[in-house]
Amino acid sequence: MKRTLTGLLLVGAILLTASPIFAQEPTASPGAAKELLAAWNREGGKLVAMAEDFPEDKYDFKPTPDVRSFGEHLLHVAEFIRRINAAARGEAPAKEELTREKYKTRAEVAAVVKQAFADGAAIIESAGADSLGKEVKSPFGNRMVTRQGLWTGALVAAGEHYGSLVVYYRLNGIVPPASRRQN
Amino acid sequence: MNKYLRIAAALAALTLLWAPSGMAAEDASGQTADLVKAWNQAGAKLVAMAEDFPEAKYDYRPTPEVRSFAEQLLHVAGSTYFFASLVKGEKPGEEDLSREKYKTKAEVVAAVKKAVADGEAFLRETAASGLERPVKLPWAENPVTARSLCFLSIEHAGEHYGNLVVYYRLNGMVPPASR
Repeated sequence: MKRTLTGLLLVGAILLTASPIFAQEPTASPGAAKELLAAWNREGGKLVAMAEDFPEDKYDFKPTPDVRSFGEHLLHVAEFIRRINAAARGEAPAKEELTREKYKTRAEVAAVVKQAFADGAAIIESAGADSLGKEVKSPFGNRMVTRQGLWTGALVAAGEHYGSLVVYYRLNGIVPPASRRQN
Repeated sequence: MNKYLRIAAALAALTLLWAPSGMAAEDASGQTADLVKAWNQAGAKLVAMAEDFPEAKYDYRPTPEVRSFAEQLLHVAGSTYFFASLVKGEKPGEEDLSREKYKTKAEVVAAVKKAVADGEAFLRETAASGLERPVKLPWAENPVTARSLCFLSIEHAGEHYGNLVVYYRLNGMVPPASR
């Protein structure tokens, strides 16, 4: 009896020591996924707000002839986010090119941007913190990245596109939606 | 206590001592490295712009109500210290470093470079002291975590880089990272 109890304690202790830190499993705290999701929704929300707000008759505005128009910029963002989503799922990037010929109206452009960010949010939410440190194939170049590295890089890139579109707004004499709340 | 029981107790105690704390878990997932990498990439692009843009155009602004090229860079640099002060629980200074103080291109470049380097050190310190740590913001009732502010700081640098990309194009130039 005494031997059985000792044996059980020993097995229990061994099982306990097989915690993630011992097994080198790439875990993150639960807050990591929650806050990543909040940042994702914040940056995505600002781009969706612009897509829905910018006057439709200015959707083809471009500050100089060699750069993307407002509408093209948003479609590029949606395409980029789709690539990130596919990489996070471990899938090959979607082949569909998002063009102004296909997405003609403001509602169509806004919808595809919204959907891309919503899909990303769903992946972050369902995968949770446990998968953030796991590596996936980068959609840009032949290298591996952690999922949180992929999402963090995408956040910065989304911020960059948002920042460019802020100037498109200002050049049209319009205050961007996110800056109106502060005024 | 027999020998096996003592071994079991010692193993259990070790497990408790080594159980992943917040920080150990962060390190195991590589989050600190990912945050630092994203920050440094965004920072390097801003430094490259600061070094590359013609000094004669440093006060260019696309419309009268927005920041000039130099003011944008000084804003990002100042914000780095602003965010760091908030996380440290210190009274934050001005979000924008003053153009009157940083008059030349060399001075602005140096300020941006320093802010990027200090920002990396700040991210590492923050991760070491716990990304889950609550931070009180002067303008919000509920505290946020230190990690949230790290994300915000990195996104913010990206947004201003995006602003400056258009400043470049409006001056007929291709941004360094796009060449």
